[in-house]
Amino acid sequence: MRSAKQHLIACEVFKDEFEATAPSELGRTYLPQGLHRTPGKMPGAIQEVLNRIDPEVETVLLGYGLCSNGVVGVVSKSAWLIMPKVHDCIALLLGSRERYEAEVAACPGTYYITPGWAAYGTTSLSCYKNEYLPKYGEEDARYIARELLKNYSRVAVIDHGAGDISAARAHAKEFAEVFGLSYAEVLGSLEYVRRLVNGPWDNDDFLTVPPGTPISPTPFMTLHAISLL
Amino acid sequence: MDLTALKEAVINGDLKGCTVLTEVAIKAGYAPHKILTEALVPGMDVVGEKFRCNEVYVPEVLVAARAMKKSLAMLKPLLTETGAKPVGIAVAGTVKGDLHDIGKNLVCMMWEGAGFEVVDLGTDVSPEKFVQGVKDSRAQIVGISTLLTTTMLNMREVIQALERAQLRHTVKVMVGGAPVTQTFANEIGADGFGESAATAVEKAKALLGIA
Repeated sequence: MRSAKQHLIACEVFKDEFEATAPSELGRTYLPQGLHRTPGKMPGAIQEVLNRIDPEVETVLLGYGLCSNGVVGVVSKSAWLIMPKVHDCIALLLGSRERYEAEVAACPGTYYITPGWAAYGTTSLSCYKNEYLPKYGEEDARYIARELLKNYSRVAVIDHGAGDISAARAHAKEFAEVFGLSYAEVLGSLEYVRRLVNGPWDNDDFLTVPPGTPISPTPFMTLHAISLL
Repeated sequence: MDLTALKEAVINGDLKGCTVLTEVAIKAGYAPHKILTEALVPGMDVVGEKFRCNEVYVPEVLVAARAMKKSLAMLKPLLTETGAKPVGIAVAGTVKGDLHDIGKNLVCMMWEGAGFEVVDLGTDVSPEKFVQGVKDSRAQIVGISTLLTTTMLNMREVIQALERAQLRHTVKVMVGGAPVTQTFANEIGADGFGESAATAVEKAKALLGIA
């Protein structure tokens, strides 16, 4: 039995993953994925939820990585904060930072898609179809997409067993076709996500932040071998 | 005509408008330098500032940059003809491990617009390549860009490589990119930090003592 009251604040793209792994009594707040594109607005949005949280909550689990410093400065008044030690969601979805590093080494120009991204988020494909084409017309929309994706060579679906994988596959295949990328499927894992919502939270993989202390980017800076060449 | 329409065309990312209006401005007898500094650069400054404030997003910046680039290409031969010497030499690149280049390209273009000769080293640039780039071009400014927090520390590697090559004192190091802050720039020993493409221009000029 869990003795301490906990609450999860997470990005909406993780909804399927957390719904598949979180204990039923865990309170949850999902925030829109759109914040990914405006990391400057993220700390405020997360802070707002934190400020309204039941004062009896002792631990807040953050379903975010460093996210382009989108969590930096977030501070909890009375609850402890626990979050995965990852820079972005890919490591979390692949199951570990080591898997992420291996994938980056294998193919750095990879655009990842999960069922959650396809269902709740925006991708360059959905932006192209729903925003760029209507606003800019085909020629300019193509130009924008080409500029955004010119350093990508493949699109990869992460299959970790949660969410609608066939919809994700269809999205990724269309993505690959429209933008001329190769298509791949990589094996993901729900293990890291499961540990975030169930514990134990070991220091290697989780950052524990005491009440009153703002989240700092420093503990993340030395996480990856690729940071240190 | 005045140059306001051209500035607006840059802001709106209007490629055709920029092409036509640049030609009109040249035919109307505006000095190429004036077209550059009073229409193109201020137009792009507006876009950069709106981007910084989340009023516009990457697509708007991309089309605006493309429009300005087109005008710039039309002005370039004329600027060379008038014998305008570059105000300085700058090299720029995205750090090792990072393939993102929209911000870096924008800074390169704005530096060019401000009269710098710019050598673009591209993306995923190793410290050694930065060193070679500085050597080959005799640059006074080196701009290091990153979008990813995973590769931020590689900026320090570049600075250390410049030190090892005994080039550090010959060049001012500027860093920029979404996760970079002034504090971080200080920590790794950079000379300057550009919060936006426009500030990158001001900072580069200030570092070289150009008004």
